[in-house]
Amino acid sequence: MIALDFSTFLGRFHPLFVHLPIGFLILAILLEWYGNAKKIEKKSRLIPYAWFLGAISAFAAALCGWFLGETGLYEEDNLFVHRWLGVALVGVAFAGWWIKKKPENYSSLLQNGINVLLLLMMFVEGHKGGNLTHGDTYLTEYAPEPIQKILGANTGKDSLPPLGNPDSVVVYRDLILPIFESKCIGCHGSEVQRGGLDMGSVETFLEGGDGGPILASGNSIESELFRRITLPQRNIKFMPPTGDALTYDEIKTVEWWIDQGGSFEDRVSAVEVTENIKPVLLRRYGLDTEPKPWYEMVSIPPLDSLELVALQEHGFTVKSLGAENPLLDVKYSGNSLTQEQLGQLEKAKDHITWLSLAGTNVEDNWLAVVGNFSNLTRLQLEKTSISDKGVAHLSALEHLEALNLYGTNVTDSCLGDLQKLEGLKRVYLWGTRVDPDAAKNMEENNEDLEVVIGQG
Amino acid sequence: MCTHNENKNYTRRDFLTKTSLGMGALSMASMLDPMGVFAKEKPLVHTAMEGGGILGKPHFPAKVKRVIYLFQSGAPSQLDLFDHKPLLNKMNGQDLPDSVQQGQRLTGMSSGQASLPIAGSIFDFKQHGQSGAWMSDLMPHTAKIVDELCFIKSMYTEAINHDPAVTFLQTGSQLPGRPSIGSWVSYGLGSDNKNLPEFVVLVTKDKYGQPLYSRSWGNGFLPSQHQGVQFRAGKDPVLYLTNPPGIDGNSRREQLDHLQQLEKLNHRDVGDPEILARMAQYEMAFRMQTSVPEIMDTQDESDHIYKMYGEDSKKPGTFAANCILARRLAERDVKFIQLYHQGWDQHGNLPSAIKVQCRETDQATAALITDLKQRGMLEDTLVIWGGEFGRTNYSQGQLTPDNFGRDHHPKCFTIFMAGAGIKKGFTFGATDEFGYNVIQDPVHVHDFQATLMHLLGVDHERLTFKFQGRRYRLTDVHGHVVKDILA
Repeated sequence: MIALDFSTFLGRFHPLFVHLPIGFLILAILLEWYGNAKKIEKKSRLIPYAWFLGAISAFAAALCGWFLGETGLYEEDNLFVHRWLGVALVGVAFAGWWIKKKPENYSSLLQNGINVLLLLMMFVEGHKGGNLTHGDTYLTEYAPEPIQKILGANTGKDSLPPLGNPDSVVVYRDLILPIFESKCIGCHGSEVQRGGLDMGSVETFLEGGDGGPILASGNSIESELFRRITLPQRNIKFMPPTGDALTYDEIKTVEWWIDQGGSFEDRVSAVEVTENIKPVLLRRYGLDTEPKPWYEMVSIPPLDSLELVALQEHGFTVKSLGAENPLLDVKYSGNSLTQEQLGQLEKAKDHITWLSLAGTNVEDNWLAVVGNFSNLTRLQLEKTSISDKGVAHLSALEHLEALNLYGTNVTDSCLGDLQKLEGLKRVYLWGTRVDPDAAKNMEENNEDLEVVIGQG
Repeated sequence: MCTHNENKNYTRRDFLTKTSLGMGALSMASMLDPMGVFAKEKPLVHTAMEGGGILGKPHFPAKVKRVIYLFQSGAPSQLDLFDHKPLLNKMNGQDLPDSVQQGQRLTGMSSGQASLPIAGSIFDFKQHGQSGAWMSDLMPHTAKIVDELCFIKSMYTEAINHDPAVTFLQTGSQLPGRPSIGSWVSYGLGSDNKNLPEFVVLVTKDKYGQPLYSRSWGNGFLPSQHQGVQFRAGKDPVLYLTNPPGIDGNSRREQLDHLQQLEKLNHRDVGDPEILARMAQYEMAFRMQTSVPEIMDTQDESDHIYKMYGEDSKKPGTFAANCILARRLAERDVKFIQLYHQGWDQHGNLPSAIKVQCRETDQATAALITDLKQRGMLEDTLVIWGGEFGRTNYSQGQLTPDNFGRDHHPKCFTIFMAGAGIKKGFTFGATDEFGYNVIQDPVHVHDFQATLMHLLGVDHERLTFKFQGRRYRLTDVHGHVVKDILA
């Protein structure tokens, strides 16, 4: 253990030594090329010295680097290349020194060849080393966009793809797996399985690692996975050992996932969203888990403004719901409505979410067109002569939440059609021929539905 | 005096400053976005489409399209109506402990009293409805609909006297001069019915006690067509609306057309925006000549509606009659309807005086909410009931077993709301056992205003008006939306 500690201690001199050969060797090559360019007959005597110093310091750097690599804190694949390329570089540097000592013995092709070779190796080696320490994206992260594109770098930075609605987001696939992919799977994937753990697939994930399962579903405290990511960072068992630790939000998300049963299929809408995870989901993923009305969840392109004006010209009052909401609140007042006029609304059938024809002369069969309004959530038909036949046209309106039929001619037989409206939450039947007891009955059979029948 | 900076005549210096900066800004903008120098959308079409409000569209979808604010002027005693404090009955007559009062200021009316005897309510409190909201037996009708209501028991204000407190609640500032809530709503969101004003005020007639100034529904520095229009009981609901004898509608129209041409010249000459405001008001008055009589003619209301709102509702000018009118205005899409009912200022003789107040308001309030509900109007209408501050837990003047009074108390009061966008059967916030200080979820007047604007689809921080060199808003630099009461 002490020996290991000591070698680690030595290993940490790697970053110190590693910059020396870069300087020495580049200096040597520049001196030589400077001489060539100036056509100076006698090569500078400094050149072999610089090569020698470069080779020696490269050796020291490689030795320290070897020890540092042994600590196991680096990603295996990249480390392998970096390590052996480094060793090769030491060899080339010594070879270069040998050649430069007696330049007259070797062809200028070999002379320049070894210069170019060494420079190339040094670039690659340096870059690999930098990536090992700082991560793959260190160099490109803040590069201007065109450069990022050329390099094919991930331009995402920290912004995550916007997620849809809670009922389309799978907790594991969309929230948890991306965390694991960025922080864990490099060492615990199908290619490298440190500690015998492969988090790349659900089956191997559940098997766990050499120490047994890492997930205790429903109990984050008992889960090895959660323990490892929340240990003090200096603990040797803390994960991930290098690179960025999991952020607070990521830890909280993982904790919530485990505590809610650690399901691999459940969607956000299927698990309990606890109060303390709500702000995390909103902040980190833009995922608003507060229940929202349908009209705030629809995302369609807004209606063309000329179409809007056309609807206005047909006598409708048309309002946008809000500055960033594409849906419309449409109203007609008066009693000179025609079926043709109402038909014009077809052009905005996906955009109309609130429609009021209250107090108009609308007739039953005209409502067929309204039955196509896929995003209609509120429909006001009060104080019209609509009867059960009109209501029958509405049964496809799956998002209709509130339907106002007060003061119309509907009777008990419309209740059947009302029950087909799955999304219906409130229906107003005051002043109709619907029997209060039948209405009460329907309300009792459907706990999400409020039937307002009024007084008198 | 003319203080609008739009009216300022440009000096040579102004011209140079503005144009040089302006040219720079213009060229900068075109460098950044070459298409930007040409207008993209047709904003005029939009504004006209959206009813003429300055915002064009709400900031976000509005849960509430219109508000009926039943303002109980004079400050009803929360301790005798909603905020049940049995400890006060237990300690009846004892001096209010300093630890409760914490040296907070009292009004000059009771600060000189030798003692501040705690006065428990003499009214019976019960829990009502499924929500179990506490209410005293003073309001039997409202008690029946508590499951529709959202009580805020932790309101507090900064003012301790009526006028500053009413002004504060209505305009966001204790000093007069700012636009009232209804004016901001009218300015921001515009009209849903061009035949009626966006902001209508109904004051219960023959109620006195504390002064109630029309500036509570004034437009402040906003263009004056946004001020509240008071509808009065009796022959002339809106003063000076009818044509003088011998003048018919046609000649009135002709007169207005010519006047408009003259005023346009005048406006081009001096640029005073108030000229436009006045023209808008003339035009509104002309349209109201037909729309107002239709509103005020309540003959088509059926008998059981009158029965529901109570006997009073047949007498024009009463609170109950105004409640029916409020509903009729709401049905015609008036955005902000404000009722005022004075007489809640019970410094003495509270037990008998508050009974009168409740008799005048309780049944009609409950009926209004029930009526709106059965018509489906609570879908997008919000009803607010409340005064400008609360009343003290100690008696002002002598405390006897059946008589006491309560002084002004800004540290806590209760309001309730019903309707769109807020939780039903819900009580928010709490006061201490003495009903003196708020101990949970305090709601400042500005928070209330911010929440009200939020419900109307307006971000209270983004509806501003530049006046005297800076931008003002209803909540000025304060106010947080009370998210916990939102449905």
